[in-house]
Amino acid sequence: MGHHRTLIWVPALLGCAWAADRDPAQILSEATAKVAARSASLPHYTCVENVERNFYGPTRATLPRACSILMAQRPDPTFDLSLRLSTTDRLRLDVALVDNGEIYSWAGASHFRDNDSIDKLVRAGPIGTGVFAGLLDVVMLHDVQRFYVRQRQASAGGGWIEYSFRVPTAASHYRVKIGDQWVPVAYSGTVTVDSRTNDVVRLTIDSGELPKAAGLCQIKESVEFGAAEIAGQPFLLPSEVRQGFLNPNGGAVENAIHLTNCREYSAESSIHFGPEESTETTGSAAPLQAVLPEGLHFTLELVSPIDIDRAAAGDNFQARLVHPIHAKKPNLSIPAGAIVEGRLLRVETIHRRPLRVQLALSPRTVQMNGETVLLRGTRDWKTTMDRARINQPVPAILLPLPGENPSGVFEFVGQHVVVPKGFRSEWWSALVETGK
Amino acid sequence: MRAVAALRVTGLTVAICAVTTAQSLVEPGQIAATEDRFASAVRAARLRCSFSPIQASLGYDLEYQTGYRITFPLSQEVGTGHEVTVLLRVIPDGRAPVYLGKTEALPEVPVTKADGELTGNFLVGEGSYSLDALVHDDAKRVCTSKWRIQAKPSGGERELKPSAPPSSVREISSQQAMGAPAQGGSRIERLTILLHAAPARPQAAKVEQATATMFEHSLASILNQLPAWSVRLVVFNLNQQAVLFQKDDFTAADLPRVAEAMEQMELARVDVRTLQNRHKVDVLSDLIDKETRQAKPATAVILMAPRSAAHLDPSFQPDPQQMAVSRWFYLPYHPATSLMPQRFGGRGMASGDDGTGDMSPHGRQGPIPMAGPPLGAQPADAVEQFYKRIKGETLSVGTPHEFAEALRRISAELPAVKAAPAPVVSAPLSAEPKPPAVEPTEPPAGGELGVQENPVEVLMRLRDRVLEHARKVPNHICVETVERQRFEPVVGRLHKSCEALLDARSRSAPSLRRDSTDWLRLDVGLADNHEIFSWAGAAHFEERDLDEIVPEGAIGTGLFATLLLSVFENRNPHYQFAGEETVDGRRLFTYSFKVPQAESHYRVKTRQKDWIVTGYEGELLVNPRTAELVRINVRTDQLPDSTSSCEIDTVMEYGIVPLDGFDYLLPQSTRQRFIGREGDEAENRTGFASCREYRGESTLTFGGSADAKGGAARNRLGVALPAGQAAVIELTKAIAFQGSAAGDPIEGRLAGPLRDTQRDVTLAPQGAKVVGRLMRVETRATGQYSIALRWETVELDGMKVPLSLKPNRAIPDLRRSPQGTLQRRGVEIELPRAGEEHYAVYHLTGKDSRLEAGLRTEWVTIEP
Repeated sequence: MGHHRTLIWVPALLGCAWAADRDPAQILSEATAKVAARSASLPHYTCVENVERNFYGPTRATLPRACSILMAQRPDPTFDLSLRLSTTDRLRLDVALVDNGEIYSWAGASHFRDNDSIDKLVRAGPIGTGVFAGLLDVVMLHDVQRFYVRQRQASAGGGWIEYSFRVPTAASHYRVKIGDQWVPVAYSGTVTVDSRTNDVVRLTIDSGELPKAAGLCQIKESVEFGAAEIAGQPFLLPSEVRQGFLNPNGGAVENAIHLTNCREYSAESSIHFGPEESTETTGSAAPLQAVLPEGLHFTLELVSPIDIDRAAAGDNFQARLVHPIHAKKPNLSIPAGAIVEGRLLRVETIHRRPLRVQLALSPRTVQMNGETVLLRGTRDWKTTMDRARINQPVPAILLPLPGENPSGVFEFVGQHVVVPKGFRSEWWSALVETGK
Repeated sequence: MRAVAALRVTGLTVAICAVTTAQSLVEPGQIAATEDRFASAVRAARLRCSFSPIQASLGYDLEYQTGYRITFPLSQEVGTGHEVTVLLRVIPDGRAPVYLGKTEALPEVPVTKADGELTGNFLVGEGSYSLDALVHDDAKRVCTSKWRIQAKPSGGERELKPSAPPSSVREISSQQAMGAPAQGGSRIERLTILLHAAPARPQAAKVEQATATMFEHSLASILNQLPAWSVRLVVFNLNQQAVLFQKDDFTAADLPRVAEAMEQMELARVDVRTLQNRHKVDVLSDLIDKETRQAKPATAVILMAPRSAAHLDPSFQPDPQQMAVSRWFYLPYHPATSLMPQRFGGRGMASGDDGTGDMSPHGRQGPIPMAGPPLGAQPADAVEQFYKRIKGETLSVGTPHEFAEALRRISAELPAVKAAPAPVVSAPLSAEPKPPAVEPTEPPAGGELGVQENPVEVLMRLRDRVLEHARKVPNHICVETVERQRFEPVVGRLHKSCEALLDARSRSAPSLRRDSTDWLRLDVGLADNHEIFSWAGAAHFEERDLDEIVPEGAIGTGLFATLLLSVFENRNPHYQFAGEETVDGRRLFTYSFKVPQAESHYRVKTRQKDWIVTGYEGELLVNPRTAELVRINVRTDQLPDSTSSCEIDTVMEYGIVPLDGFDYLLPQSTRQRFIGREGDEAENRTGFASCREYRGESTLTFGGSADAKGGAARNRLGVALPAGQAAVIELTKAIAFQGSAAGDPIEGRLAGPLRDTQRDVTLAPQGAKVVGRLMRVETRATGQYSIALRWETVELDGMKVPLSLKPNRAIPDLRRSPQGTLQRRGVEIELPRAGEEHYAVYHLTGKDSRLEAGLRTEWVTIEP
């Protein structure tokens, strides 16, 4: 690829345990070759990416500060900038690598959608991509022109070498979304290589101060790599990923990401691309036959509990229809008890008193006499509020966040909430948009 | 409207203040005692007085008002503690008498030769009446008189429905029953009334009380005489180009709100957008145009306006076919000498006198001079010519009698129907007309529903729209014009806690007097989620906060976009649906919201120039059919002591403003009220205009206020203006107070060369163009109209060079005496306000005044 790289050796920065038994350049070269080989084989694999995001606000109210001040204060913040956990949410996604980068779908969906980037699935809050493979590839195979040996530690069993690097904007493929555009930004970081196996064991990234328009001051990432076994083959995968986002108001978001259920594509499970409607057969081989029209009222009853401590956005849920649904166009008659499958779009804990959790539920399909009918729904607030007017205080309205519509948002007071089996909710059917 | 009996002093002595009294019906329990008063009057000592009966005359409420005027020598009541009682026995022919009376305490009366005067009025129905009047004072002295009156309709009045029962006597009260149309029967299907609420005298700053009463009575009469199933009223003012009040399904119960709207309108206070669009008088044509495009046009449209104040865009060409759907009537009001020319004008004569009182048949009411020649001599105005073109009818109204005749003619021409028309959801004035919509009904479970009116769906659509707008708006800038009014408590500054102040304020409106008004014009944009400002037209946005650009007076940011965005960008906002309400004929969903301080971005600056963040709450009013934001109210939490306010309340009326090919979701009117900690208040009204997208040639930059090229020019020319050099600058364009705002650019030229006297070189030639800016445009309650200005650049070789000047405040001819002391005394010195040391301040004689082109002022260069 015409990619020239230089290793700069800076003895003054080396650790005291330096033992010149192996050439750091050689180690780096072999590590790079391993990364390239891994990159070539990755398109045959997919993983589930589990993301827990903690949103922090500054202890005192938000006053905009210069990013440089916030970044300088971050290690030892003043009282007003010390952080207070405000919200936690969890996401579960499938991730795979294709030619132009990583692609995502909600966990369990059998198809990835064309040209989907993660921000089309996760519309609220920051999230970084590249964890699966892209980030390491970009650093090791594309962007970095010069590595510097920063630390080295030798031991009887081997040891490690930490290389540092800095990438200017012009050479960067590390991109931040600003408005509708992905904009490359300069970054720096370190790569730590096991000097015995030549495997990358750790990667860190620091974006430095981002452009004002990014709406973020700084992004920091660290990826710990470990050997995993997929289909009997050893494989280098991220074992623990942390992403930190610093906001201009002094707040921060910390993402912890774990990859699980990594698997090789087999004959019966391959990556497909196409509209999502053809993916709505989770758990069912029945062909799609109809779409429930909008404007029909229905009541759902959960058939299995939802444990907030375990659930994540992307998980499926099952419910049953409490009353039959009759539609004229098309002529549909769905009996009471029919199974409705749906997806959790948000699982969020709000760490303010009273502690509470919010769930965004999105019904997707309903079974009708062995056929699958596509279904979308929004929570019926009107009935809820009409009832409240009579004998209850008016409930607060919980809006689906941008990108979550159509869905219904429910709030439960408590922290370790289990939404019980049999929980009932009122809905109106919503428009099923093709390709959505 | 209020019944009045007024005591005032006539003649030369005016030491006694006029006193207002009220005439009212005698309570049933007091009637026997009143009869005794009349019976014993012949035996009582005599009080010298003179009666002047006021004959029954028709008013614009089409009721007959009558009364009296009594004068008496005040020398009879010298001293304090005296009172006078007036009793009336009104006997309709063939009916039992009705008694009216009122006792009035007199103020302290000095020794004087002047007369006191009492007047009183009441209403009668059609018929003939005998009146006995009795005045007695606290010394039991009595004065009596008798006369007859007749209330008799004439001409077309006879064909109108009586406003009061025949031979009835009523007091005038504010709760007077206005004609509610009878239930059932035939009515006009739809009636629209367009009322131009303007003073009868064009130079008046407010609608005169008499004019407001005339319009209020006229509206009541229209409701009574032209019963309609649906009446739509729009009260507007052409000078302000504003709709003051509008109501579908207008009824007599809404009349007080009309009066209130007219009372609150001050023509000297013009909407900020009007200031930028002074010469376009298009409200009326806009209203007419919208009326023609109503989903269900009115059967008739009645336009009422003072003739002298009516204007219409001559280029206005409505669709003739649409105009033909309705009947159009124009009622130009032009009372020749008085707004109530016949009310007190003697359409009957006093017919009796018992010899104890001095009868004189004159009636007198101070005429309100009207502009223009009397009816008949006036050429047709633009509105009348327009009505001719559209084959509408102009029915001039000079007297209540003519008004009655006009109503009769309108009534005769309009068809009435027995059934009420189908309901129509009317289009707001600011929106395009929409097809009729029938309210959806809630379907049963399992049925099909129009989900568009689900309150959550509506709120979500609004939220998405606001966020989408937020994505686009950073590429745009607007001109923000602010009118700021400052109020002081009438009783002086208060020393109460904010809790007490706000509590008292929640129970009743505080008594405030306006202390000052000023106007500002700024450019506003959005960058990095906060609003940025500069003076209007400046080359760069300022990096300073707004309160540093405008250091004096209360001012708030966030009205352009961020206040609304903050309501929706919160991650876990709590909204509550507060139900439906009808505002100006529109059915709206109301949502309440509350943002605690911990999640708020609402900032308030303290007196120490620090920022604090406050929580806030408010309401959103949303059109459920379109999910468009109509209004947002925001109230801060009670603010801490470190700020100068207890609370800040903001009301923003929203609308989509298509400008330059982009639909801006902008406040169409904004009112921000700062409730001060000492009972003082300030109210800012803000409007946005001239919104535009950044173009290739316009960039959003920050930095110094001077033209960057100017710095280069200065360097190139080696021009560094030394301090202490005299400059005389002549205005080349006049500056009118009316319509100006701080921030407006001004132009002048050097009246003489600007020279460096030390180096003996000319720095800038005579005639060089000088550009500056208005820094304050303010009027105070004392009647002072002030303009402060500064000069910023001088043009040299086509380039702008920064200019730092201060006014030459040296007092001329201030020679020292031989003793070394200053000789001149009594020279009035006006110190510049803090921060205005480099501005010239001019005090004008009135809002219509201007600084004329050619005005020369002396300045001195200073260090930049």
